[in-house]
Amino acid sequence: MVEKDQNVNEELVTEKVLTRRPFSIPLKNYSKKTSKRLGIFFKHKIPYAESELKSWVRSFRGGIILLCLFLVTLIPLLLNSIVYFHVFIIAMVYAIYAASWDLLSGVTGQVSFGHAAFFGLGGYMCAAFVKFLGFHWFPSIIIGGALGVLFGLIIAIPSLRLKGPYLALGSLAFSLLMWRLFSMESLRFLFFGSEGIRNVAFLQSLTLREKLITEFILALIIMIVCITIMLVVYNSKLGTIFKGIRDDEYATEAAGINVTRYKLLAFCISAFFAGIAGSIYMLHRGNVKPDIFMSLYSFYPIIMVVVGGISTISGAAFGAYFFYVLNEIITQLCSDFLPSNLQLIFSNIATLFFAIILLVVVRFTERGLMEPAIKRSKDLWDLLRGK
Amino acid sequence: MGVILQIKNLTKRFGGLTAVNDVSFEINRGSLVGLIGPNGAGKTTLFNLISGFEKSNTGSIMFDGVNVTRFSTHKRVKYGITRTFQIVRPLHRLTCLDNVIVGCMSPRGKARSEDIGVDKLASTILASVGLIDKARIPPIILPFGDLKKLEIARALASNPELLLLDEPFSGLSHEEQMIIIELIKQLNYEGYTIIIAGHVLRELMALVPRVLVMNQGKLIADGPPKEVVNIKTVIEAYLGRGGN
Repeated sequence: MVEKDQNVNEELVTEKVLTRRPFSIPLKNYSKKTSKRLGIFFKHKIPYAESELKSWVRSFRGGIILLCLFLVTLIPLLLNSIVYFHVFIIAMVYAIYAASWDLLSGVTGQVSFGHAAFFGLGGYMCAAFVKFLGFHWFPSIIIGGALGVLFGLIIAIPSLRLKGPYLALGSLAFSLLMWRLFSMESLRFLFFGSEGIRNVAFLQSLTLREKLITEFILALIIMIVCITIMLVVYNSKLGTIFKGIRDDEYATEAAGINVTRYKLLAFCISAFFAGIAGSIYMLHRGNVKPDIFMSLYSFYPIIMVVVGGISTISGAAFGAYFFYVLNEIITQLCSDFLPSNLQLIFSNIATLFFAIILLVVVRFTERGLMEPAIKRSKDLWDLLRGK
Repeated sequence: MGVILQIKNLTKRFGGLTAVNDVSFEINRGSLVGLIGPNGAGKTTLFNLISGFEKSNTGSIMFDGVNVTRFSTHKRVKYGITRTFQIVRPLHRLTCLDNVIVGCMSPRGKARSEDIGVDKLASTILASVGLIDKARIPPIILPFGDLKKLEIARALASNPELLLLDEPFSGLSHEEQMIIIELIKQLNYEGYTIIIAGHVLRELMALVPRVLVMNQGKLIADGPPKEVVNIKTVIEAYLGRGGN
């Protein structure tokens, strides 16, 4: 009955199931050992994964992701227009923000409709430290993230009892509460009032073009670092526990995991990166206003992740770029090519077109846009190679 | 050998319904015990109480000398009590290996895996239940018998002392039941204390040397299977009064 001497039959495993994990910690090759408690000998060895990063880079998936990253870096630098820099910086901010939402809601299953709370609080904290306490912007970004964690805990601890739709609404309520608090004129001394924090000095000594290029490169580096960290978490054992909590919280609890502690951890990590995204957003704009807590900013990461692919961190980044860049392109096209009387009548016609495109995308892709896009390009690539 | 589990006057009420009514018994370390009773007798509620999914109204649970009555579920797993579910609850979007790895990430599982690593330990456990072929396959497409094995594998992953198996045979064909019975015999031989909740089955009664019988929340019999089946109250519980 007990099947000893079983080797993993790799042919049984289809391509879809065997996922490549470029950022997971490589498995070491342990020698055989008698399992004392179970009392059986085992000869099974896990295939030694030598330099998974190298094999990922050489694979199609890795190649295309690196190519996209390369293009994303290169296009604004080549075209050298200020508008492109601005658009791509904001897209990168949203990439980090959407990925942080995905980590909490897609991977751990704690769906949050109020992520703007972390986003905005990160921005406000960073602005306060830069403007009023005179900190350099780099530690302020980290502080923005860290204080976002603090507020993440403040939100998370009461929400631990809430599940599903109640958690979503509770988090939405919290972000709207932030909106009210930070708009109230009577609490201006603490919460800065309806004008928020203005004129935050950031790289003032550079020309506009130099400032934008610097911001672009900074945002790019920070985005790569943040998303890599989130991917490492996703592919690690911690990520497995998070996914277990999403799939069946009680079964995970029955298996011995302290689900409460790991939920808090998920909130903290997610709030940290959302805070960092908010800080960069604030530094780019130069100010932060209470409208950053509006529910629109909570729904942006949700749309981006749904479009890109839920519970894949890279899908969030893809969705962020797709959403934001496409939005800007459509707005630009509409203002350029549509006759002006039409523009007067339908002042938001760009939004209308964009909404239709989003509907079509969501209707025809089940698990987001990124996976089919990669698959189709892979098929195209195979076709071109003559397979 | 000592007493590993001591239940004293355990009671659980849901509003007007008393699901578990003043139940007391002791389980010795390393023993194999069956818990039988008709549907609604309170077997699953008793398992919920012992493993921490429900809090009892009165009574105490002593495990290995520790009073675990007010402990949460994962804390009891840390002390060595693990249960499986009657209706299987696999983590459906993870692979089978990942399912077991989640169990190995519990404190006891991690302590056990310190020398060989979590992946190796998980593979060993999967191999011992016979699922190593399906290590990287998500449980959605597995047949029911394999899902039951996966439940047991995930329970084993947290390195328990006491295993509470909730209806491990229900819904399986005869061959699959024999496989699970062999697995349980093997586990008991290796030192696990096991309580099996189930219905009166020829195989179950042949397997366990001691049986507890519940009916309507009360413990009505406790002894070897041969004796228990002849007790009047047990027969009445299953067949009603006036039956043979």
